[in-house]
Amino acid sequence: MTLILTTSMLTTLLSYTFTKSIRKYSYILYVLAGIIALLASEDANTLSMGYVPFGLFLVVMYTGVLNKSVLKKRLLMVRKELSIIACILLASHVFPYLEYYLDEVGLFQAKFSFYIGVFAAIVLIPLFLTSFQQVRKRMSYKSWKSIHRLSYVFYFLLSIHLIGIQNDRQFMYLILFGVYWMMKLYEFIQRKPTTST
Amino acid sequence: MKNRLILLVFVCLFVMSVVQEPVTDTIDAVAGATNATYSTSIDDQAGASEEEDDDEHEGEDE
Repeated sequence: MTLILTTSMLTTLLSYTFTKSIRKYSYILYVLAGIIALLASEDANTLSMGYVPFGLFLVVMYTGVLNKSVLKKRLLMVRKELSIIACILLASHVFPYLEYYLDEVGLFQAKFSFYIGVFAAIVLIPLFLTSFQQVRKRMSYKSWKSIHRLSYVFYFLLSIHLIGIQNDRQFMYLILFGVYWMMKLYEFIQRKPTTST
Repeated sequence: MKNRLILLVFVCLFVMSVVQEPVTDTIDAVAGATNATYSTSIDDQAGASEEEDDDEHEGEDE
């Protein structure tokens, strides 16, 4: 968890400081992330174990529940870039684990959290593809928005996947996702229009 | 209010994680080495035994 939270804090700090640069050089960052993901997928490390991508996704997740502030404004400006980088880096976790489970454990012998992780990765594909400006331009805002509502499904599956691993960090994952979902629920209740009688 | 609450949650979790996970293990993990703190889930799947199980059959080889 130290690694995950450190990644989140560093990402927040860098996004706040270099907002414009991240937007300007986004494609260079995607290529760099792709190279890093390719190199990292060979061994067990902070990337291939999913800590760094999850740290990035945490920033993307929590940006949605922040109050109006300069921090939220700047994070929203680079939210798309952060999610694309997180998706690219996550590939170094998804493919080696998928290969490991299929080769060593067997498709039907894996733990429950593995299948949830696979579903989460599948849900992430349309989110990843429609995050690119070129794809987004070809879609109507309504259809793009409806696809991106899947991000809540992804966050939900991610929370089940991580809590389901049942490691020493389970309690912390429960707090992390519990707080997020409670804030989202509160936001939903607040937004709900009051019907006049 | 929400921003402060989120900051508080993150700081508390960070302190808890630093206490729970040895800093040396975290540094090792960044350097690319796996250890007990950061590889438990994959070890479980691979059927690796726990530390106390290692001594179980120690006398059998003698």
